[in-house]
Amino acid sequence: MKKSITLALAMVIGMFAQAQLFSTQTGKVGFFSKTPIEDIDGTSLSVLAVLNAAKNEMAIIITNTTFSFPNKLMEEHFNEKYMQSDKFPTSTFKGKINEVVDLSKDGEYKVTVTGKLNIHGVEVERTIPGNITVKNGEIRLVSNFPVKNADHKIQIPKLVVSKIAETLDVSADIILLPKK
Amino acid sequence: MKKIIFTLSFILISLIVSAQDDLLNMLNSEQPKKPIPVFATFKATRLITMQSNETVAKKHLNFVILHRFGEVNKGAYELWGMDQAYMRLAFDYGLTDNIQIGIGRSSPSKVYDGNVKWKIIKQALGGSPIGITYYGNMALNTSEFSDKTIDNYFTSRLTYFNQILFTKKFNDAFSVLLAPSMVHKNLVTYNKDANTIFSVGVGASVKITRSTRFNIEYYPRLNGRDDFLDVAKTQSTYDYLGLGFDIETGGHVFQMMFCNATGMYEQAAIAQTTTTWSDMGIRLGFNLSRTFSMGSSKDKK
Repeated sequence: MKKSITLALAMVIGMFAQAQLFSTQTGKVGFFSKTPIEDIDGTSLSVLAVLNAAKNEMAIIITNTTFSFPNKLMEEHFNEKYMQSDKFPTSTFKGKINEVVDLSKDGEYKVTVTGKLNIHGVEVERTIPGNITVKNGEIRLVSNFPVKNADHKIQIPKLVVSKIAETLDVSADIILLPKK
Repeated sequence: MKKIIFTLSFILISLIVSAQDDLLNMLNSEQPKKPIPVFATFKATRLITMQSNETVAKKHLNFVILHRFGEVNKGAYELWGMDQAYMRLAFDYGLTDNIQIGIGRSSPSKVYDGNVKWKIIKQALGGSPIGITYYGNMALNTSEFSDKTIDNYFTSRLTYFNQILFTKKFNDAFSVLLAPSMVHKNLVTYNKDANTIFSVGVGASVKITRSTRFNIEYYPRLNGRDDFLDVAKTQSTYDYLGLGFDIETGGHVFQMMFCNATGMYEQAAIAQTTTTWSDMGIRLGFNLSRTFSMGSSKDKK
């Protein structure tokens, strides 16, 4: 019994050790909504992300209340009415890079990542394009992609439907460092 | 044999577990445990007439038009009170995200007032279970003295208000408020009347839809309930009670209410309410608030 646990632990530890993990707690993700009446933009600077360079897999978590808006009323409405951050505190993405890239070598890679995007409690399978730059032991992920409110069951009341775009432009800029 | 199977299955399970949600789970477990401030305890800076714990954010200006009509029980001749109107204009400005200053001007008795609200403690997930907010107001009556033959003093025109608001958002849909309050009037009608009146305000707010809320607020007085406002003793005073409904449309909050006070600041609502719910001495009213973001475009980036 004791032996088997030790063995299993050794296996697990071994896997993590060779995992080549890169991570951050200060990634940047923003979104932009443009309508003729009003522009709305929110940015979070506390995005959590981790990338497994051996498996080319990544995961991202954003606490919705960390999105900051120039107009604080919009920030409150974002959390209260649209994201319903009481019920769905985080937005997440987990995916795998489709291309064959070696992230242990410096360089710039154009990639697509396929995985599950979970916003407002609704999970959608997405393939998201982006750029990965590896330099001096840092991995930088940059991506721009659209998110449709309707895909994630984010309903816009009729009263404000002209002020909020149906599709939001999301941009991510995340710099990952080797995980200790 | 048993041992080997056990070991193998253990390894298999750990492999499966780590291959599935390893990265998301890892991130979740590593999330910094910072307190997350609770948002939107109430829809606006006022519950109805009473203040809420909400303040205007830094460099934001909130312009509020408060309106109260006449009593419903005046009947069809006065169009159920619609022929009279009392109003207050108010501006609230956020010095910081926690401190707000404001000025106002009410039409009954031509009262100017200045006020300050300070969020001392904010309710937070993983932090304080309640919010504590201070609100203070000083009001100046600028109507002409009723008897100019006697000595009149400037100080007799002043009234003061101090309040601590304890607020709690229980969930997405329900918030409550408890507010020990003190009204001080420099001048009262009779010697025996209370200069200082204490009251414990209570309020609650229920979310109906994402843009609408139902609110109730009540200011029972602990003393000064027998005071009259005039020498002839015709104007007795009653406790203030209001029922309201919020409609939020992005930048605007429209609040409709039935209440028994014409006063749209606390000193007047608590100590100078002369009509009562029991004989339908209530009135329709509304608050219309609009918030402007005053920060420069540089701040916005």
